[in-house]
Amino acid sequence: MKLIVLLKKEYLEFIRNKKLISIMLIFIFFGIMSPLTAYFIPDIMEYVTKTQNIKIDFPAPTYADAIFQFIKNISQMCVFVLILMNMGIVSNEKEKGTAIFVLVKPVNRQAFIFAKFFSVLSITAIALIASAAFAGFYTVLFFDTLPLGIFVMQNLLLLLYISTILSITIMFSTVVKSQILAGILSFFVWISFTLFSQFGEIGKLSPDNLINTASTLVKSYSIYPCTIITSILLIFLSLCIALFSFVKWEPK
Amino acid sequence: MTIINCHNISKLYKETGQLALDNLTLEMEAHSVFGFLGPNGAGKTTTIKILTGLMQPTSGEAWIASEKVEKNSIALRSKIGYLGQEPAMYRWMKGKELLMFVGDIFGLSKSENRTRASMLLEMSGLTAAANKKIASYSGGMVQRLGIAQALVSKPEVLFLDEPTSSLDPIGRKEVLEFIYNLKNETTVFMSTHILSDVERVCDHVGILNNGKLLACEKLEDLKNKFSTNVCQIEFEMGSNFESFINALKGEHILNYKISENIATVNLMHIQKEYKQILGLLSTLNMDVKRVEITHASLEDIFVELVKTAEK
Repeated sequence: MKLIVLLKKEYLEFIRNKKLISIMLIFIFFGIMSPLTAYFIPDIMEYVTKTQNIKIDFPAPTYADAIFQFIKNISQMCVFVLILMNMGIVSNEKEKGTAIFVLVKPVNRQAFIFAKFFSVLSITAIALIASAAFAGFYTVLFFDTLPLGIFVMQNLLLLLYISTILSITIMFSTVVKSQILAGILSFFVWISFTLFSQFGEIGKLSPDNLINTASTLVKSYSIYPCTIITSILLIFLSLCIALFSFVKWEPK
Repeated sequence: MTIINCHNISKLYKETGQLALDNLTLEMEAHSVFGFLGPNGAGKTTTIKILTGLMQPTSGEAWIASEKVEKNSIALRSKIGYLGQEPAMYRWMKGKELLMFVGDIFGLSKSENRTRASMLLEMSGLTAAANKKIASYSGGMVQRLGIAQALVSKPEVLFLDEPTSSLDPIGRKEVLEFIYNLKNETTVFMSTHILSDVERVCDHVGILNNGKLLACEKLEDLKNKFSTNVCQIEFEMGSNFESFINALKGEHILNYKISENIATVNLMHIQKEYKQILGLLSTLNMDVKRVEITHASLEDIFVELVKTAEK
């Protein structure tokens, strides 16, 4: 019951501070731009090289290029924006005193953290669905085809990847005092995932491998289950650390 | 009826090694306005954070409205209202919206919530600003809204941490009047370092210094306890009171001060010497405006208690 009240407040805050509309617009922008870029880039490149008397044959783009572009944009640009937008989600409330405003009322601290997790993850999921819908529509429009089953699977992997990064961001925002530090730590972990994924077999455990898998899903349908398990464990661990830290927290 | 009962509460901040509260023991009667006085860093905010279940004491126990004080206790927080030192609220919300949000947290029904919000907005003089964003409110309005939100659940005890310290004189006056009128609604526990605020609205007072409670009783009793043996005589302007001074010397009352038309006499034996002074004034037929044994102000009491404790 209290969780619903807090969730309602979180959604209202996302609307009022224009975070919801910003996230939606950014995701939709990349959803539209990805197939457009894949379709027109060879033409643009051909035009540019022609003016300089260079002749390069660009292969005709396919729907796979459009989807690859989409996954790349969402997993890089959108994740970057999401970390920036959410790095202060708990630390700001602790710093400004609004967390105390709520916690001194009959609300348990776990509900406060759960509301943050659910609201951020659900809004991100909605933004991703909207973005994927636009990307899918324009892919069909320009390339006449889209393997729907694979595309859905790719988006689920993408959602799991984003959820992992966001959970870590919320965890850091709960554990540390300043939102800047939470942001720096989140970016550091995010980059570490990419570096870790380079280490052969063990690197496949990195959540970054979700993106590699999603990108190659069109060519070969092979999902490494350990990556999914690692990511789910990381989300669970982040939630547990955030809860533990927040329950122990004493305002100064 | 005792509504707050603290027994030997101590708080040691492990990181700094500072003993913020040292065996605090106090009792407070229901439906009173309790002024919790102390200089900055005395431990007032720590006390409030412990009593509201935001912080765990290192040792000791407390009960509020028969509910044991424990960190994160939902039962305790259903019985109290709280407004922190700086009224931190969601400033993107509108005034009425915030009160309804708090009502939802306390599980009020929709109609009950609406009625209570409207009533509190009226009580705090914010009806006209109910649908404006809190970000557009003045300091006094924010503070009154802060107190109103703390009253949504009809708490048995309302904790206010320095509610007037950041306000201008008009805002302070508004908030103090609001607090004074709460007496019939609830019990108010108000921490402050502004002595005049306590004298204006509080009937009970506790004085805290370096985490130790130096005094805790009715304001009136405290003043009587510290009443001074000083007699002030104010003469009519222009009157010649040299004969009175000479007469004082004659009665061997030698400890006095003259400033303009006021004679301040320190009495060794209050009753006897006070009667002698009244006799002299009558015999000499002096034109007198006022004769009184002065009471110590709260400021005098505060300074004396703190200085004595520090010695």
